Amino acid sequence: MNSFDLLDQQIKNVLEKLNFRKPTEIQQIAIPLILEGHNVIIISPTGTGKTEAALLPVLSMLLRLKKSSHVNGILVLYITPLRALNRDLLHRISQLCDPLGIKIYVRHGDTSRKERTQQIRDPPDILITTPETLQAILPGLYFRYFLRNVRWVIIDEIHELAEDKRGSQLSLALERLQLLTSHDFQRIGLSATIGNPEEIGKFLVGVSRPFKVAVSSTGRRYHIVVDAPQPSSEDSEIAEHLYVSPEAVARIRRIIELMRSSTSCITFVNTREMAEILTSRIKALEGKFEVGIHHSSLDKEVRVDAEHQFKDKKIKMLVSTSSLEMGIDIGHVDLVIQYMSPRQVTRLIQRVGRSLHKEGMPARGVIITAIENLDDILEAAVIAKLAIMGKIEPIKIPEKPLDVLAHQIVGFLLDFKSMDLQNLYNAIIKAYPYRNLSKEEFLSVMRFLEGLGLVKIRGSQVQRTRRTWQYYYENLSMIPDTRKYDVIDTTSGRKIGTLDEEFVAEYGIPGRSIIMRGSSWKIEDISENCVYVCPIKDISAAVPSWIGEEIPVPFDVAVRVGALRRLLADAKNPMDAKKLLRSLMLSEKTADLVIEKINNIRKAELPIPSEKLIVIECPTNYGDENAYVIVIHSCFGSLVNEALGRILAALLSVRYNTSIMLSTDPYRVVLKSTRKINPHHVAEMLQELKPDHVPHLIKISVKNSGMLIWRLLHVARRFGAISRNAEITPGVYEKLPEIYSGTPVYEEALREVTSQKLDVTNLCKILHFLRDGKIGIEVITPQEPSFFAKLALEPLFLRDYVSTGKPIAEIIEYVKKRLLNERLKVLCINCLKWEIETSVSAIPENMKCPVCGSVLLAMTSVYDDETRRVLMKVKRGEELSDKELKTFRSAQLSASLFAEYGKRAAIVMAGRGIGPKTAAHILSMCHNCDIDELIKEVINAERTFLRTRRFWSND
Amino acid sequence: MPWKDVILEAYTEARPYIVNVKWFKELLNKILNEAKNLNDVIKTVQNLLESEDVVKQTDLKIFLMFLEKVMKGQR
Repeated sequence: MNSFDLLDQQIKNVLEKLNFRKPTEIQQIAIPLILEGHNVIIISPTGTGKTEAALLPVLSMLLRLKKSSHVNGILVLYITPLRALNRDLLHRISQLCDPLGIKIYVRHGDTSRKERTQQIRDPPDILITTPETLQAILPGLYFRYFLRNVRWVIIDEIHELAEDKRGSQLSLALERLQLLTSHDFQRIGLSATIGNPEEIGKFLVGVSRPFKVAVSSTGRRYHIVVDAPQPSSEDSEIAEHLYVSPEAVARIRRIIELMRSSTSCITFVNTREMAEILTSRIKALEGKFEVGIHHSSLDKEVRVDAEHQFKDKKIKMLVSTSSLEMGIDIGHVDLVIQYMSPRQVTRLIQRVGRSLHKEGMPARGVIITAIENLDDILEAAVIAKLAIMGKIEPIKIPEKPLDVLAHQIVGFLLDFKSMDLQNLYNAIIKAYPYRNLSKEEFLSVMRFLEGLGLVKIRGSQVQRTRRTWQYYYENLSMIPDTRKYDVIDTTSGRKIGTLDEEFVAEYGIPGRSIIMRGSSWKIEDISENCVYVCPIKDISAAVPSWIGEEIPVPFDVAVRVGALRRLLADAKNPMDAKKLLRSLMLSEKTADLVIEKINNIRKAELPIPSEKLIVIECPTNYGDENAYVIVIHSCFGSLVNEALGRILAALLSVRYNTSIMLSTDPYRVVLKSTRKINPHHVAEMLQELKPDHVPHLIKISVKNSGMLIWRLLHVARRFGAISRNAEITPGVYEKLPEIYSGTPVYEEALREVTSQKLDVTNLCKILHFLRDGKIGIEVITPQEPSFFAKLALEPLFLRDYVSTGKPIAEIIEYVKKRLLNERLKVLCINCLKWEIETSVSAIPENMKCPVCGSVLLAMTSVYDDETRRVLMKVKRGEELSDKELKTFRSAQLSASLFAEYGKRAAIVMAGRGIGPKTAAHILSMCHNCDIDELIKEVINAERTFLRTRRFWSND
Repeated sequence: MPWKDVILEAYTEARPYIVNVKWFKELLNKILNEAKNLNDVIKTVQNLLESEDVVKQTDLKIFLMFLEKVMKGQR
């Protein structure tokens, strides 16, 4: 039977008009389940009509409800993780709802005051919103009234929410809504990619509520190829001009060739900085087609503009981070390119799934990997194979986050003024993330909140306080709140994006070049909230960097890469190896290359690290006289290696009484020290490490780490223990672990670190295998670092932007132009009868006063009237104050400089923050230099001034 | 290299990228039987671009891209 037949006649009419005659597979499965009143989790690839699968039966029931009763207010809540999705969705479902007379509104952070007022006067039947706006409206006087009749809640892209604290907050918000409505509403969750649908279903409905899973059986077809382009001689030539390696040029050229072969394509990268680098390189090589950039640090206007231009086919390719992964309609895409390994199967499926949004069409994806990095190629191959097999990583739902709990306890109290503690606890543990919350943990948070004055406990009742409202509304969002700096282009005055506080603290030095919006910029100045930049052509620039963006490689993927290394090394003949690689979607040439690399590695007669063999390597000739390095080859993924590395670094630093520098990647732990570490000691430590001791050792190893302290600050803010506006001095910052030790704040920060940044469970598993002999350990001490060690010691990323021999001609040219355009006041200090305002470029080489013929001409700012006043005083023979004396001497010095150096003096004096003393120094130093050398000195002096100007009144 | 070998080499490189392998293989065989030289093949493929659907169009364009690369290597 056609599931559309089950719908209300009015809907069937609309569907017919819209030419929707046959339900898609997922609609056929989901519509009857929803009409039967089940909570349903719908899993189906992008472009298969999921939204309609949820909405059509809901609209049908809504129409029937409206016909049978006088129910009013909001009946359907449609929650999405992104505002952009809301706008897209409104447009899409309006065509269904408008003919039915069903009102839909969108309410989120961008909704205007006028629209908000309108929504209160005339509430919609369907409200599309975000989790944060739901938090904002839940306690509202009007909305509480409108929401009391909610019958259906639809959560779109549920996987995006379930995996972080926004989801924990939403799960509790739904329990608050449940208490408000006093009836069970039907819950529907939508996703394209879920590895653990049963658990996400539980997340959707909470504890003790049944649900059904509607999953499309056919799934999406993916056509994925893994390629590692090899450089040609032409690439080597281009590489010199682009300041990158020939291998990087080969990759960029392959992207361009593929772009030309497609109608429109997206290239996904893993970090915002890579998006910047790649776009700038592509633009440098591609003259014909327009290429756009899209990532979350760009201004919203810029992103929306890029989306529109792409949709309108004005841009042929967009280079994007995960910001384009989710279901915003960006029009037709026939090819998705992934630059370097996508690191996770889910990422690859979401990204490649963006191509050809039509049912039955295969999604075409190409992974361009790095020829220099065998790990990258093998990892991409493993992920491509897993994606084609549909083996997606399970989503990890955060376990009872206590800061979210604190905020939601306050939310419950805003909803209901006061509550019985037991009833509140019962409501909270119905939310799936809090099902294991003990009463003791609940009371501990409650007592902490009472200590902060956010709640009052009176016997068995808990009440709100005067601070409750302010705390609640100041902390609506669970998205980490890091300070951003606006980046302003000084040539146009336009904001081009934002930079993170941490980046500005580290790299924000005037004169430094950054890449943003696919172009290079030089930092000119930094104020409290803004970074001022000017455009430059130099592409060998420094690159914006953002915190925590690298996607961790999961345990399962890294283990499979290890297994692949082993299988390739053990292959009896090249044909077997080639067959294996071809089954992993590698192109012909890439497969040959991998085999060649493995053969070369085998020739070195060193053991090949795999999932069954940990190799501890201590190269005797590391190349750094003052550092010893140990590389632990462990194919166990980013988070296991981070946990393992932290424990080993902590233990070794005690044993050797020295500090150990740690770095990790998915396949290695690198330990560096000024004292020589015996690799056999590391092997012993590993073998003796008991899995039971790991949680305790982790607690010790992260105790005073930056990782924990940064989180403590944010968790304390979310708890309301530290005000959002409080300036934290470095002294207080470092003491945060001591201050919050033994509190729920510390407990939550530690939970965040151990669950998000470390993989303790799989580390314990590895240690068990080591003890059982399922995993072996081998120690090697080669003279030079092995092939695999080099991959960690010489990061691949550096090869994508080589910055040696950085040309500064463009900067010099830019500054020269600017200085010549500056305007100065020229005043004859001899007769004081002549004064002009002029641009530096108009000043002749041998300027004289036309009145008295003197060459003593002072140069000052066009806004300066003080110099003339002081000089008049001198002429009258009046006594000068100290300040006036200083002005007089400055005028004298500038006049003598002009007399001696002519126009060059004017050029120098036009520099920002350059007074006569600094000018005298520069001019004497550059007496015989050419103009470019002089400008370089002016640039340096300007940088010094910008860095130190807060300490200066004048020169 | 004889022109048919150039075509075959380009096909070998392009094959992992091609979504409709069966269709493409048959098409290429047909073209190879009818064409007299490399230019004939390129012309036929280019003419086909107009009539095929988007997925097949991309397959054809990718093949042409690899063909161009192999030809460049020849020169």
